[in-house]
Amino acid sequence: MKISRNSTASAQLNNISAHDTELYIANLIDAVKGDQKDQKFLLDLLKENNPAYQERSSNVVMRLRGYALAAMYYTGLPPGSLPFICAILETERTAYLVAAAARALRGAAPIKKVIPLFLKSIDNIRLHDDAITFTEYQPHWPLLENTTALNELLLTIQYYGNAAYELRDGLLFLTNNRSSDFNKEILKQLNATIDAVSVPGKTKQDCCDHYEDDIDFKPALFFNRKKELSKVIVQDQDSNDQPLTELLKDKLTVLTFFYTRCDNPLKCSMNISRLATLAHDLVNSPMNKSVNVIGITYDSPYDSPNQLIVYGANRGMQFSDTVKLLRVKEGYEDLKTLLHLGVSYIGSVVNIHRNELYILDAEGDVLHAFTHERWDVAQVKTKLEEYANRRTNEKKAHRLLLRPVKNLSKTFYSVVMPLLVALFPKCPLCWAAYLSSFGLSGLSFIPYSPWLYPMIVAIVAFNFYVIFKRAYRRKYYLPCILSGGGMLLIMLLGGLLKIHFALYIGIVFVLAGSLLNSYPVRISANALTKKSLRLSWK
Amino acid sequence: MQAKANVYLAEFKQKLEKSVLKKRDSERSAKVKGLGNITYAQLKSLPMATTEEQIQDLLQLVDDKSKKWDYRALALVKTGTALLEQEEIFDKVLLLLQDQKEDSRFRMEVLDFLKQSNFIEATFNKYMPKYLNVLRQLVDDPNPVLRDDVMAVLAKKNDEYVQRRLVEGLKIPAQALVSPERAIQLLGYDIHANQFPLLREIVQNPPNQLAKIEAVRILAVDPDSKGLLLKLLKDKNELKQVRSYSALGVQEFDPEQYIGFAKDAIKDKKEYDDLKSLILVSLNQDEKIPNDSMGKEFNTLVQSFKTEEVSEDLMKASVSYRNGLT
Repeated sequence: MKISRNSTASAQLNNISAHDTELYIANLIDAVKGDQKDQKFLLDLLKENNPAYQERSSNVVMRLRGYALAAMYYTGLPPGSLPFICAILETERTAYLVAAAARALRGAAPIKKVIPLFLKSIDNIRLHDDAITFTEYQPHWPLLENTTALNELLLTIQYYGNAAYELRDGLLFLTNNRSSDFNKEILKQLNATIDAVSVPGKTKQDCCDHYEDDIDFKPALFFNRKKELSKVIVQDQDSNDQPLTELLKDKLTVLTFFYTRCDNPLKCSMNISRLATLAHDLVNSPMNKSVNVIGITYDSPYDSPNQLIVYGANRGMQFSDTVKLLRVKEGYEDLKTLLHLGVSYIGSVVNIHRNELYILDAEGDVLHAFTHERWDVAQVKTKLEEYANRRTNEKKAHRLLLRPVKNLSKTFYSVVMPLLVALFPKCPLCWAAYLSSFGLSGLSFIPYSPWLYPMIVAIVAFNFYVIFKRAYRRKYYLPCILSGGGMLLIMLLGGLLKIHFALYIGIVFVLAGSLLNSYPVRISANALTKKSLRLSWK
Repeated sequence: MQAKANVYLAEFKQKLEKSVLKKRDSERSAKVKGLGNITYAQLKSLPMATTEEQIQDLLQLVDDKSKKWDYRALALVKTGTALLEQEEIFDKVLLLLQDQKEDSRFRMEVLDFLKQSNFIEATFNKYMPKYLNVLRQLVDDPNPVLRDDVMAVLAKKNDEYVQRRLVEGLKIPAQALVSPERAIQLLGYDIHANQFPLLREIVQNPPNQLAKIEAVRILAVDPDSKGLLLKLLKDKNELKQVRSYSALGVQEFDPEQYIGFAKDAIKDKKEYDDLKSLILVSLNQDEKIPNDSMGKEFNTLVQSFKTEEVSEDLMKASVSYRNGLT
C-alpha cells in the first residue's frame, strides 16, 4: 500500500497499533524518510514497549526497529536515540539491527560516545553476519546487491575518519591476527577503514548532549507508588511468597529484569552473571545485609522457582535473604507500568526487551536507572555507596530536625493544653466575659451548654495524663503536683463551688506546672532510686 | 663413541622419515594425476587433498558433468576444507548448489557438504552472508527435498524470511512450501516466532492429524495454552500422542490439575496403559510432586499392578514409581 510522503504519514506513524500489518508500518517509514520533523515518530519505533510491538514475533519487531533506524540515515538522529543505538552496538548479534544502527549513525555528525563500541560490535557480529538490504522492507531473494553488518560498521568508522583514530590499533589487530575470519570484501574495507582513521587529529564533533536523554524512562508519580507497589506479590526461587514492599523495606535494592528463555547471551544471561558478581562483592562490604540484590523475571508464567534456581545457580548466584531471583505472582502489570519496563510480549512470551537495572530506596522509589546500555558492577557499587551515604546523612539530619519539633510537641502538651484548659469558659459568667471581650458577632455562634463541663473534665484529665507520663519518665514530679493541684482547684473549688479566687489560683498553678514541665531535665543515675531527688539542669 | 652413534642414528631416522613422506606424496600425486580414469572406489580410498594441485584436480572432476552425480559429490568432499580457505572455491560450490540444471541428488550432496563445513564456524562464518543469500533463494526451489533441507537450515538459524514463508503457507495452503506438520516442526525451533496463536487455531481445525500432533507438541511449552492442553488431555477421543504431549504441558503449567487427572487416570481401567506409564514416569521425575503426596489410594493402586494385567512399560514405570516412595 503506497502512502504519500506528507504530514498524513507522520500522523499515521504516531497512531500505529498492534493491529497494523508490518508492511503498512514499513510503508509509513518509507513515506517519512528524508523529513527531519518526523524524527520523533521514528524514535518511538525504537522503544521496546511500543504498543505496536505487542503480539508480533521477535523477528518482525527486530526488522521494524531496524528499518526505522536505517531511515534515520536520511532524517538524522533524533534526540534520545543514542541509548538505543549504543545498546544495539553493545549487545546485539542480529545483523539487520546492527547494520541499521551503524547506518543511522551516518545520519549525524560523529558522536564520541559510540566510537569505543564499534570494535565491540564487530566482535559480536563477525560470527553472525548476514546479507542485508534496506532498499525495501521485504526483498526478493537472492539479493543482487546487498550490504552486511560488518560492511556497515566499517563504512561508519570510515565516515568518522580520524575522529575514530583510537580504533586504529584494534583494526590493525583484526587484519594482522584475524584475517581468516573475514572474506575478501571485508578485508578490503578493513584496510580502507584503517587508512581513513590513520591520520591523527580532530575533526569537528557533535557535542551530542542532546542525544543523551533517555526519554523512555519516567519515574511514576510518587504518591501512587507505594499503593501500586503494595499490590505486587512475588515468589522467590525457594517458592516463598511475599509482597514486594516487604522485601524492599529498610534497604536499598538493586533490581534487574531477565528471563530464562532469552536467546541473547549478551543480555539476560550476562546480566544475571554480573548480578551474582555484584552480590558476591557486597558480601564483603559494609553494605552487606543492607542491600537487596534481586532479579525479576519478565516471564513469570514459564519461569518457575525451579527454573530460577537452576538459572541463577548456573550463573554464580548464591541465594540468601537479600539475594534472590523472583517471579511476580500478582500485580505484574502494576510493576510494569510503575517502572515503564522496556518489554513487549506475544502472549506471555517476551518478544523484545531492553537491558534495565534500577536502584530503589526502601519505599520503592527509583533512585537511579541503568536502561539500554550495559551496566557494570563497579558503576552500580559506586551508586550504591553514594545512596547509602546519603541515606545515613539524611537520617542524621532528620534526627536534628526532629528534635526541636519533638520538643515543640512536648511543649504543646505541657504548656498549651493546660493553658487552653485554664482559659476555657466553664460557667455562664465566663461565657459572658468572653462574649463581651470578643464581641457578640465574633463568638455568638458558640452557645454555652452544660455539656461543656464534662468536656473540660476530659481535657483536664488528658492534660494531667500527659504531664504525669513525662514526670514519671523524668522522675521529676513537681510540675505534676502543681498542675494536678491547679486542676483540682479549677474543677472542684472554681467549677463546682464557684469560688472564683480558687479558679484564678488554679490557673496559675496549671500554667506554672506546665512551664516547669517543658524545661529539659537530665536525670542522674541516683534519681532513678526512690530515695534520691538529685537533679541537674541541662 | 656412544654419543656419536646416537647422533648418527637420529640423523638417519630423520632422513628415513623424509624419504618415506616424499614417497607417499609422489604416490598420491601419481594417483591423483590420473583422475580421469579413477574409479569411484579408488576415489573413495584417497585421503583428503592437502596440496593445491590435488584440490584443482579434484575440482576438475567436480566440474566434469559426464561423471555420475555421486562421483562428483565424492570428489567435492575430498577437497576437504579447501573451500574455507579459498573464497573462489566457496563461490563455485554455491553456484553448483543454485544450478537447477544439476542433478538434484548432487545438489543435496553439495548442501550436505556445506552444512558439514559450517561446523568450522570461525572460518565458515565469513561466508555466511553469501550462504544465507543463496539459501533464501532456494526456499522456492522446485525440488521439494532440497527445499525442505534448506528451510530446515534457515529455521534452525531463526531466520525471519523462512518463518514468514512458513506461516504464510500454514495460513494459505496454496502457498505452502512444505507439509503443514513439517512447517509446524520448523517453526518450533524458535519460541519467539509468534506461532502459538496460530498453532492453537490449528489444533482446533487441523489440516491433518500429524499437524495436530506437532502443534500440540510445540504448545506444550506455552503457558498460555494450558487450558487447551488440559481439555485435550481429558478428552479420551483424542489421539494418544496428542494426550501425551498435552500431559507434559499440563504438568508443567498446572500441576494441581495434573495431579487430579493423574489420580483419575490411574483408577480408570479403560485408560491407555501408555498414558498411565507416562503419568507415573513424569510424577516420579517431578521433584515438586513427591510420590508420597499423591495419596494412599493412588499409591496403593500403583502398587497393585500385576504383570499379566498391564503392559510391560506400565509395569516398569510402576516399579520405578514404587521405588520413589519412602
